[in-house]
Amino acid sequence: MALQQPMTTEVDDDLALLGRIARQDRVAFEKLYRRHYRRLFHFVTRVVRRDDLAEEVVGDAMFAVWRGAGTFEGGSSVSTWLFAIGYRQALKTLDRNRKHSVVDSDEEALTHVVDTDPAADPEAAAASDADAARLQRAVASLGEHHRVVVELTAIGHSYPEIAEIVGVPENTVKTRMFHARQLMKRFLTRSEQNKATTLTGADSPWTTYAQTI
Amino acid sequence: MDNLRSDDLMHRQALEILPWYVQRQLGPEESRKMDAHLATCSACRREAAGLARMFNVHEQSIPDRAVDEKRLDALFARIDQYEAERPKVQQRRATDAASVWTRLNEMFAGWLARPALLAGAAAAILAVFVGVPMLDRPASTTQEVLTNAMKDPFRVTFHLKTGQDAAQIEKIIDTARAAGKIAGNYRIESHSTSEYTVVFDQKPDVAAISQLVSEWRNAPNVADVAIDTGPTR
Repeated sequence: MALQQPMTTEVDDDLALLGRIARQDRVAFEKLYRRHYRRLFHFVTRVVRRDDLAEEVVGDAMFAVWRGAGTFEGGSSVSTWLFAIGYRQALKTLDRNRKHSVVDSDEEALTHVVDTDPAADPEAAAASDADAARLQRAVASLGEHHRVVVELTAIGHSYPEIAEIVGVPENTVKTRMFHARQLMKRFLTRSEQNKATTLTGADSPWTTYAQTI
Repeated sequence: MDNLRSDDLMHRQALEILPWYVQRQLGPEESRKMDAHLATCSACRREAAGLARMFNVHEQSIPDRAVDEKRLDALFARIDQYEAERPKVQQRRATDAASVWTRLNEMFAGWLARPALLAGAAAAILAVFVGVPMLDRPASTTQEVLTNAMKDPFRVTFHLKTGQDAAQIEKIIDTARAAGKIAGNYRIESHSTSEYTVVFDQKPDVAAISQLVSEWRNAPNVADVAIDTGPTR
């Protein structure tokens, strides 16, 4: 799985890299940046819902890593620490831009996500791409609290890690994930009913998943 | 046969942590309990299969994205600027902390070099015991603060309430500039998520800044405002 958490050796290596960053080692910083960029960018994009803002947030988060590397106490993995920083930066950015009406509503953001997805074109999309597009719609239909937990789980974080990243109790993470799944099933069930004759057919992952209600 | 309970794990609990079981993100003990529960619960097995497919599709939907090299270069430039300014900040803080002891050392050295001054030692010691707390505490009047602070560059530190950020300070400062109470440019240095120092490149008018600080302290999102009174810059 490409986006799963780093292997144990990489986790250890992250810690070593952070130690070097605390001594202002730019090579170590670049290595850490490149290692976590894709997962962090993906996650942050799902929070702020705009690629340009997500790039800013990733930059701010990594700058905070440079400044704070020497203060890392090792109470969590470096990855969890990094994602927690990224999440806080994303919320700040989101709040700032909401005030400036960059993204006016969840509905508008959902439209943005769907419209920019090439798989939204049924003429061009393969069945798997259509499934991915529908998944994006289902996840994007969730509120921020639910969406963040789903995304962090999907990219391989444990629920204690998610609790630390988001700053809520572990049981809250479990409850949010549980309710998110129910909401997604409802969304996908409606989607299946509305598009019974679409490309994906009766054995799509979403039919399967929705039928597990 | 499907059981609503397994040996030691409720079905609902199993359903809650199932996503992390599928993602192999549970600890050994929870994984063992889930294995036991799934062996007897077909509903959870179906749910697990659905989740596995969902996560698989989710992962495939994430596009490969290369690092934006220009943004990385810009980040390094930002780090370079930060590192260039950091020694000055650290030096100023170290100087602030050391200044009290430096003054005391100089005072005692003077007495020892000139025994005639020893006669005044008792009075001086008394002065130190009174004076040191005075040095540590904030200046007692606005005028004292301003006398210390009216050096170039002029710095004001904001402590914001929870959930606020530098944008709040920009708004406050820009309002004052628009009203003509502050001239020139400024930059904001972030010390933490709630503490920021605004560095002005022009000395403000004494009366104006005194009034402004009072206003800023009463701003709804501001916890405190302090004029930077460090003795050296």
